[in-house]
Amino acid sequence: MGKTNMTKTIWLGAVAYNPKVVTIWEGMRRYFHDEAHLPVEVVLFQSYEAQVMALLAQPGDVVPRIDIAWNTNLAYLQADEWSGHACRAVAMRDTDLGWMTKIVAVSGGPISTLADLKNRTLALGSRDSGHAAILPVHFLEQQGMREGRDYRALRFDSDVGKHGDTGTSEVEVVRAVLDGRADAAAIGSPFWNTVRSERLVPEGGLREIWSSPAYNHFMFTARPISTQSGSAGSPTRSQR
Amino acid sequence: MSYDNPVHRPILEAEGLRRWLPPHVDGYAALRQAAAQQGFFEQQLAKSA
Repeated sequence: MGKTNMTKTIWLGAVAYNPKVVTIWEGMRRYFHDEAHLPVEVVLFQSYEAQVMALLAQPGDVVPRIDIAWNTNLAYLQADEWSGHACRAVAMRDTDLGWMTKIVAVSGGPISTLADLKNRTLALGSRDSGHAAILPVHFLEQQGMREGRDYRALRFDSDVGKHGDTGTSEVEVVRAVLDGRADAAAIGSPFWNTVRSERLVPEGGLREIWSSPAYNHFMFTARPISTQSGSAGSPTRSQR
Repeated sequence: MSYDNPVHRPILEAEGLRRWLPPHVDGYAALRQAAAQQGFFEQQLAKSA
């Protein structure tokens, strides 16, 4: 990309769910400045709620204000809903396509199908995690299994505000199954792949008993044009 | 950004991707429905903060 005429700063938000996030966005900022010649500045938030608030901030609101947010699927949808569908989806990672929620249980144990979960305990991750809490509850309900009526939920709300990004709660739900506090666990497909490839549990110790349909995860989300009030020129250009 | 560029590559790897894609907005219907049912669209925090 060549130089642009834009001189106004594009404020880009991301949530710092791990110290490495600082390094990632320093690198991104360097790319935007040195190669894309885009005046991007990065704001790191501690929660997606605060980030979405900043994305939707109106002139005069006493909150930070950003033009683009690196949003989880839930944060993207919240921004979309709360803006009256005026936010714009801008770009995503190749790895945000085709996520799945897996229900896993101890191999050779009593749980080998979803129906076996009846009156048993399912470990769920942080309550605002799409893949480890919101979607498993939803998909199970579609299968006729309702939380509290058909199964008990053991929830690990260890990183609320981060939408499950830290992965901490997924480690906890797997541990709960291994030590017998829960009969099965709901985790995202990437973590399930990691469990197997890095042998985080004894080989063959856990098995997948159910897999959800595929869904997508992160999305760069730009604030509605009508509320930009001139702080950003063309946010979509920052995604090259 | 290119995965083949030695300057870009560590950033992309840390962020967990090989390639940026245009938005595929078709993969969010289930979560939209689930989040609505579970109350995640009800509370827009503190615009008045």
